[in-house]
Amino acid sequence: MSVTFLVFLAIVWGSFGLWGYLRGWKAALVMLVLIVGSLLALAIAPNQVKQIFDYFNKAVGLMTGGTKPLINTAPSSLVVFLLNGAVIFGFLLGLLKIFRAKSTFMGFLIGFINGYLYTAYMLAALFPQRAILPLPIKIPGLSTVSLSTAAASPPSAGLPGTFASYLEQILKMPCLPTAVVAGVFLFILLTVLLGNRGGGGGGGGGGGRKG
Amino acid sequence: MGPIGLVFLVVMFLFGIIGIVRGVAKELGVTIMLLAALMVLQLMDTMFKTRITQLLNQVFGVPTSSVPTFLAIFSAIFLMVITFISYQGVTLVYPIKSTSWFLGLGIGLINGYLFAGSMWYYLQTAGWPLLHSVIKPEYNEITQNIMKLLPPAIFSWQALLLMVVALLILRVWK
Repeated sequence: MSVTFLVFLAIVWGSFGLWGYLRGWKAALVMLVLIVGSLLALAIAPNQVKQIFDYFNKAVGLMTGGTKPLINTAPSSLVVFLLNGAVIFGFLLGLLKIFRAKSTFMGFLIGFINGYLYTAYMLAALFPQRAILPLPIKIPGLSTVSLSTAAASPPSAGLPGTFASYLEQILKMPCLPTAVVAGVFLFILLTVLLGNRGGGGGGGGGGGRKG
Repeated sequence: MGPIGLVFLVVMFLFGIIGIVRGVAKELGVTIMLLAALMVLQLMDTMFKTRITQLLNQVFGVPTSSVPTFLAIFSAIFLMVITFISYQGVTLVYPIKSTSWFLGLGIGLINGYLFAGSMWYYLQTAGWPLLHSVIKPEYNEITQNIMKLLPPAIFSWQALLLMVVALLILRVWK
């Protein structure tokens, strides 16, 4: 563990906090509800959640003819999958006009809590030897380590190194290609649907226009 | 990340800036064109590859071993032409009221990913024609993992067809 690792954590928390401040407390709260909901589901009924993903893997296997499961159903993989899903979905929902509120400190605070929960559980799932942040909701299969244990672990390769290893873990997830395709599709659909409700002059009307 | 990955990110970023400047309504028109172009290329690769190989082999005398390179170069040129047509002159515009810079940036980045990612994939498959003496693709692990996420590697023609049809319906639906 090093100072750069703590800087990395601070940047992530600050980004979540800034987003909460800019979009307002309602958008941040929606994300918090989704994050806590997905964590509670994994804490209270881990087997049921695993079973749902097993069914999903079987269905995808039947459709594509593949034998390798699309989503790894180990507790740490499920945490990563659900947590990232909750953050992305919460972010997209936060763009809706009904969840917009004034920029207040409350928004920053809730966003900051989102950032804390996100990093705490992602660290526990991806880097167990560096999981120094206490986990408010106990999930079977995830644990934390003490500061002294984390300090004894080999030093990270600075901020870029920490970010690179974090990125590497995410890029290795087998469900990522499907998530990218679904993400692109959902973002385009949401843009069309949100854009029609949005204000301002812009593009209305028909087909041919000069590019 | 290596230099090729960096170029990919820079091009994606440029498309993002273009998205902010042009606005989301015009950018969605480019998105649908890029998706349709990719669908045609994926369909060609999946369903007609054998026939095209036979045609190139028997009619034009292209050796079978060179066909994948030939097809990759054709795909890259086709994509460049479609992208140019999408941006230049009379373009497809969505009836969208929003002038949000965020949505413009998002759709611009998606266009950049679709264009630059596909070009990277096809030029890599073709062995970097004209550039093979300059580019030495010795990728690190992160770049190799990113390459598995390039559009032609993950978008099947069925998924692209679904997207194109959905976007066309949304274009005319009131």
